[in-house]
Amino acid sequence: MKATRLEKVTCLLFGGAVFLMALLFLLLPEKKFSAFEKRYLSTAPELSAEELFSGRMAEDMESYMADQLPGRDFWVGLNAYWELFTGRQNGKEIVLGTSGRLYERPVRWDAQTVEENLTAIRDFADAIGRTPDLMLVPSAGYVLRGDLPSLREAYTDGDMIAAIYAMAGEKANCFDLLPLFEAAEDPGALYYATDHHWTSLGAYTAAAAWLQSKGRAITPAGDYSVTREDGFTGTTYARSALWLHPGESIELWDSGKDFSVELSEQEGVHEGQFFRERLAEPDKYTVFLDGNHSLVRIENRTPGASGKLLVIRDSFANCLGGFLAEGYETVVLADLRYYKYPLSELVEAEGFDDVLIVYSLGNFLSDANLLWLE
Amino acid sequence: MVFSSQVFLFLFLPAVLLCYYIAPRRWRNPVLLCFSLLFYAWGEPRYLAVMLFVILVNYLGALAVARRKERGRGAGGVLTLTLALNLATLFYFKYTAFFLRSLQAALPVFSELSIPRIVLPIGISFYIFQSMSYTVDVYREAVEPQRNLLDFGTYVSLFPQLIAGPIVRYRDVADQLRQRRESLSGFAAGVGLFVIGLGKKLLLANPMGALWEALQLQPGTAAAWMGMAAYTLQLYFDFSGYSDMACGLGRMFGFEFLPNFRYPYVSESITEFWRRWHISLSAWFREYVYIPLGGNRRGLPRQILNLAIVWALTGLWHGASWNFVLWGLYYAVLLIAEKLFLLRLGEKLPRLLRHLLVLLAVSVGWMLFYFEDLAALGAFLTRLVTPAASGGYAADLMLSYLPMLLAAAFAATPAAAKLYERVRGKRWAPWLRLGGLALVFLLCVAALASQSYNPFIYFRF
Repeated sequence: MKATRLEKVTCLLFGGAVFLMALLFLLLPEKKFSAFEKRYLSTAPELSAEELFSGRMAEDMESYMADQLPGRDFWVGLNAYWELFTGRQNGKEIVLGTSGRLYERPVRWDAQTVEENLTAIRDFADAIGRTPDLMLVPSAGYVLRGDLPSLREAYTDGDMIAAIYAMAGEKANCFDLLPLFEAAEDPGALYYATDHHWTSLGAYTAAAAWLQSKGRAITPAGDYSVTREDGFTGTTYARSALWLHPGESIELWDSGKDFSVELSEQEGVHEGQFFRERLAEPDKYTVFLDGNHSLVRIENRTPGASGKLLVIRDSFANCLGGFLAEGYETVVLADLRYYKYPLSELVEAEGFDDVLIVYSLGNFLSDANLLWLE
Repeated sequence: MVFSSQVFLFLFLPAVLLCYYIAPRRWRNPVLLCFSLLFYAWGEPRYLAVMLFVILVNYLGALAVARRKERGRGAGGVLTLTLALNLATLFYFKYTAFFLRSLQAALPVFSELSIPRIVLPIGISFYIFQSMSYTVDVYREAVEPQRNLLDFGTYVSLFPQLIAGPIVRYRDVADQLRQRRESLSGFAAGVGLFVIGLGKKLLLANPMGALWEALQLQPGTAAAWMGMAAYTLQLYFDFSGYSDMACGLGRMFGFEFLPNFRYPYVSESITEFWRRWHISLSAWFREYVYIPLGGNRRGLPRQILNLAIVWALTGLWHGASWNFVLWGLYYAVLLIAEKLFLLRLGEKLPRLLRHLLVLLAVSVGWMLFYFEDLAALGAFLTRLVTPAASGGYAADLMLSYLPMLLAAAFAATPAAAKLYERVRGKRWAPWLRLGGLALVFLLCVAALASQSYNPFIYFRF
């Protein structure tokens, strides 16, 4: 029986597809990093008898191919849109708001981590002989919960923060951002639409209120010279794989104060608080204090600046740090995910006037690194 | 290796197709054999030895059976020995731990006995059943023994149906092993089957599985019912998808396997359901257990006993756990009841009601199949009949998966195939179908690229 044209086309399409993918996979150079997904990709498994006979080779090869699949970003995006099209948004890591904003799904209460972290803070307070300030940042999903499709998994950040503050007792001066954020003119402007962080406005709002509580001053919001960088897409965008989603802009608020920044992993002093060269990179967010570093020291060389502040923090303070520095002569930011020395020693050596612990609620509930406070 | 993986689709398959089609005809079986062994060894190299052992036992056993048949005596003994070796292998790898645990439960004297941890070699239930069918058929002189070890090894290890069926009887493919004609038409048909199977697995079964996993944790009567429906659909698409892929791959290499599923969920009776679900397994048990036991020829009481034996074994074949035995006996009871009176009674009911009752019985059956823990099963079945509201989250979950669930339910019926039959004659119809297949394939690659979680349910068997 002679094959029809349809049958020939079928064979050609299928054969062509699998052979083409195989060839591209074998011939294209190995990709090390996915800019879209913001993570390192797995590399070719090494062939060894042990790998082969344990069956690990099969697993490694599968995850290697998954990461190195030709056109991976396209495929992952196609799947994301297919799920969107068929309505399967429930239970996904990234929640699509009705306005099109992308949120991380609600964080879960973790009693053990909370207890451990609060114990670490109490011990730290005892060790340094003073009461640190504690500021927990609610998630965008909670602050903007009206934007979520109805029936979605509820955000309970408010209750969780209240519970943590109550448990912290007298060992920490708890600073509540919620009333501030909920009273904001446009709460949507406090957070990015495609990233889990707060915007410059969000960070400014928090910094201004906190500095005020310390009796320190900050530039009025209207007096900054603001530059906008368009085309920013952040972490929630990357994780959603909804590649057609529009980007947004990052705002750089320059108070005109004379700042210099020292980073723990780098030599030399950086002039000014913004790392503008980072805006050309895929991860534009690192424009704020160069992304994550174990220790960052901001010197405010403006005449009249005084006082020293230690900030124990996660990445939310990348943007916050510059604002806080307006009220002090020196601000040191320590990220306990990377800084693995006893902080009480640093406190003793530096003689800080104030200590602020600032974490996003999500990190506070999941990050066990506060142990390093001691 | 599984079919719905990137290593299979974009490395193994192109490689085996290339080598197979550039090889001269007499080298094609050895090429298939080599690739099949590689396919099997990929995830669990150690268990290659088990399969090679089974191949050798049945190859030599069948030859010895045939020789003794010619001499007129002793064939039965060799057959018994060969089958015993097969069953002992299956028992050792699949049922040792189950047997010892049950023994301990029954006789506390043995509670000191340590239970060995034995990993089940993938597909062992399938290839041992295939191999036994061959040896028995040689004994029955239904088929000539295969003298070429490579050809026989190719039959047992043939990668398309190696790890999840269908259970291909040797006599159905004996001729194809020696002389088969690969053709573009056959290849194109194979592509169609394969892509449909891949789509069933990745685009329907996996989402239904995710829904079932999520709904199990949610309170409420509606959530329990929808969860059960999702699992019922997941099982069908997972397993029939695998069978479709197997048949499709077989056709790409010139083999034709018999269909393993024929829209089982449209059945109007349990008897009909089992003629449509996992056909190759029911056929195997009928031919090699039920009929040798006497089938229905020795009076009703004996027939009932035979059915009970066959279904207890069918249940046990699916997994080494009591819930599977229970699941098998559940069907024994239903089938016996249908033989005695239920079928006649059912004919008086409206068709739609009969459909729904069968679906209900089958779905509840899948719950026996799913829950290894009888207490958990009881709790779930209680949820089905206890009115309780579902929470907002469960409601959202159900709403957001409803389109997929309805699409899957539609795909489980022959409706789409019937619609296509109507327009089949039109010039554009086959091209439209090809476009649909291409889209399904693209979405499958997308689903594969996005998920690392991709276990095949039928691997436990």
